[in-house]
Amino acid sequence: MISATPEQTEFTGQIHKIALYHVTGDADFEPAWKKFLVEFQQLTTQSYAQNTSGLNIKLIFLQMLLKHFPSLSVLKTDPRVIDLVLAGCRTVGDKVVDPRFGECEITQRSIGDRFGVLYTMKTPNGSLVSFEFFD
Amino acid sequence: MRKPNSEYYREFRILFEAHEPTLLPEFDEKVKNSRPLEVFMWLEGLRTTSKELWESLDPLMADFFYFNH
Repeated sequence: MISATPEQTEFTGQIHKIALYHVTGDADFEPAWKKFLVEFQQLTTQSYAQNTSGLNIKLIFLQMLLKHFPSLSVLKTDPRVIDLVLAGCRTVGDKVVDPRFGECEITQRSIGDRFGVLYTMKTPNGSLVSFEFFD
Repeated sequence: MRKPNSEYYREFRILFEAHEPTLLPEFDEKVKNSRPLEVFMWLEGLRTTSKELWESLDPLMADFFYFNH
């Protein structure tokens, strides 16, 4: 029996609630979700998952979720999901000192194509710099 | 990388030990206490302050950043 941490349970529960808005009327969803959760929990016991950050685990969860349920691809751009996955990361409006540009303001934050954290920052001279970042 | 047992953390640490061991405590502290992005902003700062160390870290850094423009 594999048991998730309380944080993982809270996180996956919140994502589940949001996912339910997008799968109304799909009777197969609940059993498929339960099966998916077991698969994810098995993954979290593996060496790589044990030795990476919580942020990476959440990004892996989302990547696996969208692979299992392509109809939920909208979750990747759902602000509630982004806030849950990227909790603890710098967010829009935060100022960050980038050694190359000086103090920059984060103007956009999302989940990138490679399932990294995609930031756009405004530099002191007003130009925008965008990069995908991995923890 | 922000996990003491991770492969990346160990690789970065080896390079710090080889090129700039005095920065190791600061590196460990950053990894332990900083938010995700800030560790890498700090590492970016080494580009000008610790050139030799930066050049050794640079190939690993490519695994963490993709610049779009």
